[in-house]
Amino acid sequence: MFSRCLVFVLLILQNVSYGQDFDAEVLLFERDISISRGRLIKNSRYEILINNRDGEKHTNVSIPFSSLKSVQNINAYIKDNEGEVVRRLRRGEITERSAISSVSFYDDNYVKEFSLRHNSYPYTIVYSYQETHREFFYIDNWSPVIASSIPTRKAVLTLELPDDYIVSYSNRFVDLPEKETTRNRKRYRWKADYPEPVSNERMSPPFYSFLPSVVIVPIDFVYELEGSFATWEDFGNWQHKLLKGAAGLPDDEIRRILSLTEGIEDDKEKIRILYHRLQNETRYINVSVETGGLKPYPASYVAEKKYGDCKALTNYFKSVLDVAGIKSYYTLIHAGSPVRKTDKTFPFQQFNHVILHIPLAGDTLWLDCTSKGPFNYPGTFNQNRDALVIDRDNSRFVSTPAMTKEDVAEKRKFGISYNLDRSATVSLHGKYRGAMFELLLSLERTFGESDRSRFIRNNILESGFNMESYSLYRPERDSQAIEFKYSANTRNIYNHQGNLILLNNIPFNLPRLERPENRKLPVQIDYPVYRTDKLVYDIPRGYTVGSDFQNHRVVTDFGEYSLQFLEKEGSIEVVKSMLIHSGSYSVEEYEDFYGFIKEIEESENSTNIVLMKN
Amino acid sequence: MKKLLSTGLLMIFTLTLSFAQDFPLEFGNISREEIEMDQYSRDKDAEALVLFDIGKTRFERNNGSFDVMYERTTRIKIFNDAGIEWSEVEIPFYSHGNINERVIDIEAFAYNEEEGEIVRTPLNSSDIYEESINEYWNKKKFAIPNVKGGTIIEYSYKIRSQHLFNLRDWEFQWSIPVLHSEYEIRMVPFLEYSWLLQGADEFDIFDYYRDGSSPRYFGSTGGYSSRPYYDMVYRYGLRDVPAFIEDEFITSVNDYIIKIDFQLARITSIDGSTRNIMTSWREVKNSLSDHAGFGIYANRSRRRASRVIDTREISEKPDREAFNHVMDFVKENYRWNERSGIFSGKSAREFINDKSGNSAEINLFTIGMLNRVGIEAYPVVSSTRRHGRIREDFPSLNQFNYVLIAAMIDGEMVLADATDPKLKNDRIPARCINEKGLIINDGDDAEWVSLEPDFPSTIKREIAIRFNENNDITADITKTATEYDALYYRNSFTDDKEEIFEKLDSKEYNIKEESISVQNHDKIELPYILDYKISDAVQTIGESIYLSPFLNEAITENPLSQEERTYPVNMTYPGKRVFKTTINIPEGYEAEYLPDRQRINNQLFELNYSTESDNGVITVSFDYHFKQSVYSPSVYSSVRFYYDQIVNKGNEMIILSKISDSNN
Repeated sequence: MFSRCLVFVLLILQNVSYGQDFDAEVLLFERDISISRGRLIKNSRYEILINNRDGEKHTNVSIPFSSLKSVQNINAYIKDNEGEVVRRLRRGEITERSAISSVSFYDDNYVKEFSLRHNSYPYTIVYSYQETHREFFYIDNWSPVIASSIPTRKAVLTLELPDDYIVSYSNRFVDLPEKETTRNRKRYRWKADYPEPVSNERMSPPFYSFLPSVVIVPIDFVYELEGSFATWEDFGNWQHKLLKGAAGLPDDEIRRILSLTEGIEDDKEKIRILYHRLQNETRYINVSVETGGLKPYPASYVAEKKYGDCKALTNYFKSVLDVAGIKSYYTLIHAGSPVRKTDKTFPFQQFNHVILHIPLAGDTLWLDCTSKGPFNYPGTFNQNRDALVIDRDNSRFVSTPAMTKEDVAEKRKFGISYNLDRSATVSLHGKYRGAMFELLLSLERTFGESDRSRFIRNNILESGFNMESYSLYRPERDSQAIEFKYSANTRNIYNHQGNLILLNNIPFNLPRLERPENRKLPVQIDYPVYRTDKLVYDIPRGYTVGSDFQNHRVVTDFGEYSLQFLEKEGSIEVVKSMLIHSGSYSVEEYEDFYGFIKEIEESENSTNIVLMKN
Repeated sequence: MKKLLSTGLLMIFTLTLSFAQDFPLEFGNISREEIEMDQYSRDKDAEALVLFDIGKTRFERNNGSFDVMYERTTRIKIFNDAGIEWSEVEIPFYSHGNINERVIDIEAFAYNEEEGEIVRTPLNSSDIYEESINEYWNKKKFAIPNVKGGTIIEYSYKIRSQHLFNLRDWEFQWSIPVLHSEYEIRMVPFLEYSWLLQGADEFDIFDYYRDGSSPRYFGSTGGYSSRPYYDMVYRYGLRDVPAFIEDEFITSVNDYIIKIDFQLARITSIDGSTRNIMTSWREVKNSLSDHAGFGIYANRSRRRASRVIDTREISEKPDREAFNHVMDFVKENYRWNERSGIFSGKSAREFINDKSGNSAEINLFTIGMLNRVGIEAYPVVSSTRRHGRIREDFPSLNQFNYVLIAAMIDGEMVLADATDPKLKNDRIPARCINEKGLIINDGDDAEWVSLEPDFPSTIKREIAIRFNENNDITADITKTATEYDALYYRNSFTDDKEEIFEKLDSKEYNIKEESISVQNHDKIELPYILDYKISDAVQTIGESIYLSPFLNEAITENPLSQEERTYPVNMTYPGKRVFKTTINIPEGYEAEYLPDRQRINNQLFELNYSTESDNGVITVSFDYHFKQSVYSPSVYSSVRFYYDQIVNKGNEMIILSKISDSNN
């Protein structure tokens, strides 16, 4: 459904803004891939037209390489407007540096970089290079898009390989390839363009899903071991074989595991004890070299160093549970937000994380072995998506549980008292679950005091509130809720105007959204948002309530909102709640969704209570 | 606090200190007290504590010269999960040209208590990695194994370096507290260093002595020409150093952290002759004038100038015109590669060919061109805000990372920079505003020029509000920005209406996209002017209309959220804000309440607020001016108070009420 909407959008855009000036344009992107005798060679060539100074960033070229992928024959030059070559890249101008990914402590990714410029526009930078892959399990993840903000006029991908070499591919917004066979070789050719740049929008599905691409994988591959993408079971078997060599723990580790679980009957309790030990003793450190992106370090590595990445820690804990006699499954998942839907029709490495799946009698556990959070808490990171459970000859997709509104409930109570200098002292007592629980827990656990208080002062407090004190309570170990209190001073509540005081609300934090006329992408909300606030305002001495209360309630398919007032002796109570369901909405439905959020925003931002001087 | 290390002249600071906690300072020797320690009494919230951090520097002979051998041993107690990150250690080292630093002998251990025993886990050498940061810098990195809350980690390593001019800084202060930090340097008679302590007045440990135990020989060992010499050992230490807390609105951590710097001052040869390296700014100046990548590069640029522009024709123009011509030409034809630097790494010919370069390449080239067309122009070496401020009592090239232009136009000195085409020709970028720079001219003395702007940058907002029939309002807003504020608007708002709409839209009122217009975007000598129209609903309570005269244009929050502050508030440049609103009172209404006048005026700050109601038109005028760009901690509470006043006056409402019928 999404994809159809987008094609529609792209066509419309093309008509509207044809002829718009771009800072730069990719005139041509060609890539020729050939496979012979197990070696994968890619030749890429780019021609980018630079129209002005703002487009010049596209002359900064960065080419990744690693121990499995070498880069050679880098050539680059600049053509002026007349087509004359005015500048050529000198070998000495290419620099190299590490390009360690943000999740890694160390890996063997590097880049070669250079930049070439000219001083009269427009000009064209042309560059080309060759990559050679030693071991590979995908052939290319190709896209005509070089940078999402500039168009690509023409892009061609050619794949040439032996007749008997079988590949599978998946096209998104790219036509099927032309196919040609010559003697014992065959050739595929994809043509694509990207005439109108797409830009990302808030609360939308993953951005990549709106860009054209072709993913090509070999059906049979050798990556560490022989494997196959023919079916998910085949891919699972390859992963299973990789794991087989990584099991096994040292003897004294086995002894400790057994002594910890001795006499405990209940499996879940055993797992809990061992999971707590895992959390206490190990930490997340990702070191990935060569095929380390997919092959975990052995369990004995973690037993010795007490650290590892998600693969290593999960594999280690699987071995720990084996010792305790509990069967568990190494499970591949694409974690994070927005949720990225697995293409089940196309067996391929589509995952970025590993967790442990444990089916117990009458209960199913999901353990994220990198987490310091509660036991059996997949969290917003892993919830509600397909995960590939690795099992010999029986690898299969299982869905992780979806968070319900109760799982994400945020309840806050504000006591608001009036000070003689017309400011207010606000004391909050909040109880949080869901994303906010995860954030506060990580603040409590992994931040030093000065960073924590700065973060709270700048990011958690309502705007215009000056923090006086706060306390963040370390919850019970496996609790999925956290309590937080603060006290703050603010001039934003009692707004004196002549003889009146306008009592301001403490509004819910709402997503900022594009207006419907500007919105181009659909909406995706991965888990619900559910907040309930109670505000108790002091009525300053000498004032009485001078307005009627307007209770408010909205119920839509997207969620609900309610606002209620209650006048008490010397105080006013306001109770508000907001629920936004998880869901996916098309661009056509966006206007209504926007209207719902706007209605809440208007209600939250208007002053509802007026106090009058007696 | 600057000292020259020359034997015999130094006072000895006291060594009579009683230490609250005396832990062993020896690698590998862990006491039970350290293992059992669960917090640091002076900072109970600290996630970790540096138990000791000991650095030793000595000079080792290497082919007639010396290498610097730098040795460091560090022990850290980790109190909880938040402290575990300290077990990931990174050691940067330099490798480029003649300098080829090596990190050797890395050792690291974790100590944990397990079943009553102290268990030691070593780091395997195969778990030490090397990352290449850029063409100059690399780092060794390792994660110590078996670390959790309660663990003690310790590590030691050596660095061999050929870099004699600047020794590595020794930072006594970390972002976690430090119990004991000590730095020892074994001086050889051939190299004399000056040193500077920042952030502290004196040492807890200071000691020096001649190490007479073993003479060393310079020249072939024991040979005829060899001479004996002895090391002079200097030891500097601080105890119980509090954690460095980084504040908002500071220039650079480098300016405030407690550290000691060493800079080569004099070289003495075996024959007794001496060569001064950098004991004065004058010498710094001279060394630049003669440098291939500085003075010589600028000269070559001057010679080549006539190949790229018609120097004869330009030199006949009046100063100002010729200056603008050259500046415009460079800005249009050469690109800054976003790198700072005081030296050119290219020849002038290469720069002309590449058409891009670092700040030195561009600005020295411009200076050469200016000189060629008859304008007196000199380089000004300076330090960008991120790089930290210049310490005048410590002459050293290392303090600089940027070159600006000083041109004499009609007898007046104008500071300039050719890296940013959106900047006026006689202005320097905001990133370069940092106290002062050293002018590199022919004079004998060191001359400093102030880089601080003495003019305000202004944003003026004129708002005309009219009521529509349904009591909604329409407002025309005109924003006029000058100087650095104009530069900000040109860079971030540009003249792209869609972009501007997106930016303005965050103010949450209805902007009519088609009403957006920009004037002078490309005429950088003129103010940037942005016009747009908005419509908004007003608040009505009973028969009265409540209206905020500046709509959502004034700031609603005091940006200084902390109660107190230890470092200056640095606003980069003095800023002025002006608001002027006119409101046409709707038919049948009158002004019921207009906010009070207010006026503040002193050396730090000025604020004026006034209202006027005349002929059915209300005029509200509001302006404020931060007169300085830097405010010291002693006036922090005043500055914070001024912001409170700004927020308050900027958001006060006026009340319009229906004219009662009783008069009719």
